[in-house]
Amino acid sequence: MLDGMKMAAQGMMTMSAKQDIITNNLANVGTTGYRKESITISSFTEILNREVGGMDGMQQSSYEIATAPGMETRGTLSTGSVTHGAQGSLKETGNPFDMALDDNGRGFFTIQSPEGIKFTRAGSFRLSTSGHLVTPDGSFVMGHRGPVKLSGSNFQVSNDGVISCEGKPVDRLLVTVFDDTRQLKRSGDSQFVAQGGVRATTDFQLKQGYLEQANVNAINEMVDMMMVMRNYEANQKVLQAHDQRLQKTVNDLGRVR
Amino acid sequence: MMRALYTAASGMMAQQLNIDNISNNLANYQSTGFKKSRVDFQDLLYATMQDPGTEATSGTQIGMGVRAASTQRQFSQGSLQKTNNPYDVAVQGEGFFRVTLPDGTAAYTRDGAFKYDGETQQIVTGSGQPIGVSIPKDVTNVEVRPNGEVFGVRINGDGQAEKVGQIRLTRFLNPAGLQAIGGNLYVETPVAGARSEDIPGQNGMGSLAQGHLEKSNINVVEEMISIVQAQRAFEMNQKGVQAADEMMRMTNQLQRG
Repeated sequence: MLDGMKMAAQGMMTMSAKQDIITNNLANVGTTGYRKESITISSFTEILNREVGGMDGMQQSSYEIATAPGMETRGTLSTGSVTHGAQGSLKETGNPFDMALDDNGRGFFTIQSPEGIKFTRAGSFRLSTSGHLVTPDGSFVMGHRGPVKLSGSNFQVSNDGVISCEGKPVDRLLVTVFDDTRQLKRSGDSQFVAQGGVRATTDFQLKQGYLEQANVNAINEMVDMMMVMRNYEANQKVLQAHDQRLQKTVNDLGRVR
Repeated sequence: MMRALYTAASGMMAQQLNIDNISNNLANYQSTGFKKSRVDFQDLLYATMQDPGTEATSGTQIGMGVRAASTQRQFSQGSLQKTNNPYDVAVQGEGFFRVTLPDGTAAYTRDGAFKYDGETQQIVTGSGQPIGVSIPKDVTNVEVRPNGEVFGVRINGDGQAEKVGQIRLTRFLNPAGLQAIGGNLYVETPVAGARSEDIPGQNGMGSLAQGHLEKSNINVVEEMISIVQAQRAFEMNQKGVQAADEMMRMTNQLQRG
């Protein structure tokens, strides 16, 4: 009985976390280069299996635990959030400092912030007081030869990322891809930090004068939000039903006349 | 749950700023030489429940919403409007007219609605600031050539047009880095990048068109679409607030009586 209440409560907490993430997606529907996030939900048994199974020599016992009577269903838990890598639509701005990668969402601009190397899809760059190409928060945009520095009164970026000042090539934008995009950690400001293997790529198309919109589909988010609401409500009703039964058990069944 | 409330609120505030900006663009639809601006958004910090890349999961990161990072002005060419006024001059290309402010410092403008100031014998902007071209009082039939040469005919002369002045233009590596000071004027900042001055038609300066004015580069249809998008995004975030509120109400109903 109390288990049932716990499971319903777990369901509510999971839905609450999902709602937080949907709201963040909706808040960032107009953010340049924003990547949609979604939550992954697994059954409790599955998680237990994996957590315990991860320890050496415990495979057998974890299986036994997970399949023991009464362990088949134990509610749900959120196991993590994943970043969606699909490319957002490109919007023309006409500003030469706006750049977008047209590569099915694989590559990222490499930038150097005070906290170290980061990655971003938001190509809304500008000029720093020192003449470097920087992001809105002042991080340097990296080329193959280090931070990109512009000179002269005219600059262009070709389709393959080569930057030319006054017609002379100076550097090539460093675009990075990841072995596993699940290992990208968000650090705000539309930027990511890598936790796994990275490598430079030349397999991209660069569009100067364009910006990539967020890859959030508002319809999906609204539908998800409705589902979350109803799921939350269903779990709430289950909890209430359990509570009612418990009340009957305690007050009616156990009444001593 | 409170997180979703604040996240959605940040989305509403961001869209409100977006609408403020679009409204300013629309209000300046008729301002000569006005350049539209846009708001750049970035996502806020993430609450990291579990680091990505640890164990087999992708980590759990929940975002805190959105903020406006900056506004960017877009210096695309506005369309030219014929006025037949000899002192109306439009730039077709990237250059700016250089204006001397009353305190002696320089400002730059695309607004070529000039007039002749008989007292100082100079060509001045609509608000009386000289652009560095003086014309003797006894000259009529002023002609501005595409390369900036100013010709005129002396009243008591031989009737031949003679060169009386030269309009020069200035351009910047990153015009979006200029600071707007109102009155269609911009002042230089360190992030505007390298400045070069030349005669019109040279080095990408753009040529002059006498008897024309450059209209704002506002595309009304585009701005109206943006305002609809911003309003809908505002509504979506408002639904996020409602959903969070509703979920909290359900939570409160768990305990009945």
